[in-house]
Amino acid sequence: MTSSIHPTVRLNKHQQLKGIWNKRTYVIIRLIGEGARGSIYLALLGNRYVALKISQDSSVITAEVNVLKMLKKVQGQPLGPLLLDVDDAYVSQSSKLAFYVMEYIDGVPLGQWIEREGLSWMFPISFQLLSQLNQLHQLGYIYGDLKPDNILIDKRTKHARLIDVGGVTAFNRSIREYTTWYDRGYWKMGDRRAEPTYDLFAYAVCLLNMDPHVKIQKSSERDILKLLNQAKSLKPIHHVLNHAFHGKYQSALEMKKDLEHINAQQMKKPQSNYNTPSPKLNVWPETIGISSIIFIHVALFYYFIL
Amino acid sequence: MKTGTIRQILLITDGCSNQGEDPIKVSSMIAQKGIAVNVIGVLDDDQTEEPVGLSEVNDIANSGNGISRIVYADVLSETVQTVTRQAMTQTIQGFVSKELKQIFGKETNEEDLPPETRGEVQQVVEDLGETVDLQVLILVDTSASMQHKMEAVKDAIDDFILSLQARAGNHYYSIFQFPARNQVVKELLPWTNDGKRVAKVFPKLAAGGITPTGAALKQAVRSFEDVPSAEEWRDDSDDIIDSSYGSS
Repeated sequence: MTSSIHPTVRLNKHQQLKGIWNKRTYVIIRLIGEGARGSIYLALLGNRYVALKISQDSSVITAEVNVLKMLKKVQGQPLGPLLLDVDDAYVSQSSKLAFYVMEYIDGVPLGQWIEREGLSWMFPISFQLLSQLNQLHQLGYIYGDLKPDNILIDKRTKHARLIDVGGVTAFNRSIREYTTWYDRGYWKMGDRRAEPTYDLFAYAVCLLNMDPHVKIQKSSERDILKLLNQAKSLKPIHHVLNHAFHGKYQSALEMKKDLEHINAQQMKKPQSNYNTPSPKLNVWPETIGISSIIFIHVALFYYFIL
Repeated sequence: MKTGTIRQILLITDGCSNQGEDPIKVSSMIAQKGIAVNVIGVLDDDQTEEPVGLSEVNDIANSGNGISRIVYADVLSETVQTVTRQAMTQTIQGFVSKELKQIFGKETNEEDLPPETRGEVQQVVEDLGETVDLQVLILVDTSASMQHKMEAVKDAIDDFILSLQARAGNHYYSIFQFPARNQVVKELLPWTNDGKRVAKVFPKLAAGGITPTGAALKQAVRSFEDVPSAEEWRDDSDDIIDSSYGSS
């Protein structure tokens, strides 16, 4: 019987993993992620890049494979990464470990993306994620461990993708995996039983975290509503977050609809303090930059023409 | 299907034992009774991730058929839940392998099955994990060096109870501290499933510098005999608890 499990697995660059059952060989390139339940490596299968998750605890692999298989049956936009292979391999002479292989999504975690590309990306990303969550909820499962690190923005398609299915839990079961700051139990705003409101709470915290004025991780504040008050850049969506924190959205679509409504209003009045409906524009500095460019053009125009 | 009860001890400590019996030996004795011993080692902020003194943490869990983790205080909450869940899965897998052995007539681990079949076994294990009754005895090291970590320990236990409550199966937990004044272990909270009691009973003061881990484990494990049966429990769950621990 295995015990004292430290789930991370150290593999070397160029190390080859040969599947015992399916006989495919993977060449390890580098570590791309490490969770509480295992390690994820970028690997090559022939000339194709894949992501390979391996754990000391085979039940972790089996459980996640079960979830990925379930998600595979869904039509339409993919929920979670596509499962490619499941197998065991000897990582050293004496140690045989279970692993699974999925498509490699070359992306940027949500937090970084927003920092780099601007808060205005909040809306399009939210629409995508909330409809994905809705699809998942329709199946009778919640995502569970929703947090910015588990949301990747695909560099190529600029679409949000949910990675790491370790927290996916059937309705009314106890949440399999969560992260403190995104867990409503931690904030004393509800229990840890799987229902759609649990995901929507976590997503509201993800949104809250986008506000540069809010430092959830550094704050000792245990009242999420007080933190909400600090979120100056998110003023227009305060009532949506408040609603989600109180578990009042029965479905992801309701939350999405409210955000769409706000987004539409934002588009109409670009002079408000929250004025960048088109992606890539960062709230204030860009506005000042653009207006000064316009000003210079107008000035030059007057200078030369008149 | 009638499911059984899983029994665990969760030891939260920050160092090696320095008095009395060998905790590793005691732990393997406890494991033989069908009780898993899980250990969480709590690091100081300035400690490296693999300190020498804490290796005992892994050894105790190893011989106790349990899971161990060594973590900083700020991730204690998540760790308590992970460790408990993993140990539970491990225990259930133990049962399942025995069943498989009966079917296949030889020692069969889940790992010996092809990945496809494994998924179905896993489903059964998970279902059991959600519905089985769970008894967890939480044994907290309250020696002097643990003093400034007590707040984190309290939060972690509080949080753990929340996770227990989300399960479909019944749960009972009790809390012991060691060392205590004039005794090796002290019961802070008898078996209960009431989550609100944690905050009230939690020790505010740490005791001396000795850490009699082995002796503490040995004494604490006896209380598994006092677990009220499920029937008894439902009748008068509120009266069973001695409220004298309350505010003192």
